[in-house]
Amino acid sequence: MAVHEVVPSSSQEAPGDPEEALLRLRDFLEVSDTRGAVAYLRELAGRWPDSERVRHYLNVLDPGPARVLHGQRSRSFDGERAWIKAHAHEHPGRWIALYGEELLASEPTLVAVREILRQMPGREDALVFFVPGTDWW
Amino acid sequence: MIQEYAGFSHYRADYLHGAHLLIVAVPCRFEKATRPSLALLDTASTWCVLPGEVATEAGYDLKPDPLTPPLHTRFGLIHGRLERMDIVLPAEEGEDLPVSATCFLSEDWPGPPVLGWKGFLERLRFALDPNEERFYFAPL
Repeated sequence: MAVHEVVPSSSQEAPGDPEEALLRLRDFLEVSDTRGAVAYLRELAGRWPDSERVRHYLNVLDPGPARVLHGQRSRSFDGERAWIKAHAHEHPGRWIALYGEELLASEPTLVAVREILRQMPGREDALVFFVPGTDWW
Repeated sequence: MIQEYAGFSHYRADYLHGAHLLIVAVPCRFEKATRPSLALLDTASTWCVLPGEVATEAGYDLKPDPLTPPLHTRFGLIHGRLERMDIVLPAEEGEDLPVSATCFLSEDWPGPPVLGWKGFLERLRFALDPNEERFYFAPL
C-alpha cells in the first residue's frame, strides 16, 4: 500500500517567517499526518518561540494525554437508554433533552432545547443529543 | 488477557429503518457544557466533528480556517476549523475521563457530534462489550 508522505522541511528552502512556514501545515493535514504535523510544528516553535499562531496549532494538534478525574463519577443513564430504545426513532432530525425517561424537549435546534432547559431548574444535567434524520443514511 | 479501565458508561446501538447499520452512540460532556450529550463513536472518522450549535455553545468561533483542509463527508465537502476542546467521558461506574481532543468545528455539519480517531480515540484505551452495551475507557 502506497503511503503519502510530506517532504521533510529540511529538504526545502527554509521559509522566512512563521506565517509562511505555517502554510505547509495544510500539506500534513490533507493526508491526516498528525504526527508529521506535530513534529513540524515543534520545529517551528523552536525557530519562532514567540509565535502565538505556531503555539496555537501545536496546542490544537498535540494537547496531551487523557487523565482520570479521581473521585468523579456521573449518574446512570439507564432511564434515558430505555427511552431512546423505545422512542428516539419517533424524533428524526431533532435535538432531544431527557432526564431519566422524561422527555424534556424535542426541537429542531439545540438553541431551542437550551432555552427550554433554562426554565427547568434542577435539570442541569439532562442528557441532550441529536437524533439523525432519514437523510443521514 | 485482563485489562483495567478507569470507568464505563452504556452506549446505545441501533438499527435504523431496516438499513442494518449499527450506530454506537456514547455519552460525553463537551467543554464548558454541564449537560451530557450523545456522540457517535466512529473510528473511521479522521477527527471529532462538531456541529456549529455545539461549538457555539462552548464559545468557539466557527469561521473556517484556510489552513484546515475541508473534510470529505457523506454530505459533501464541509469547511471549518480545527480547535482543541476538552471532552469528558462520564463514568456510570468508575471515574470520569477528560480527554483533550482535536475537533473539526463546522457550521456546515448537519449531523450529530462525532468522536473520531485522530485527536481523540487514539489518545485513550477503550473497549466495547455488546453483551452489556458497555463502553469502557482509560488513559493510555
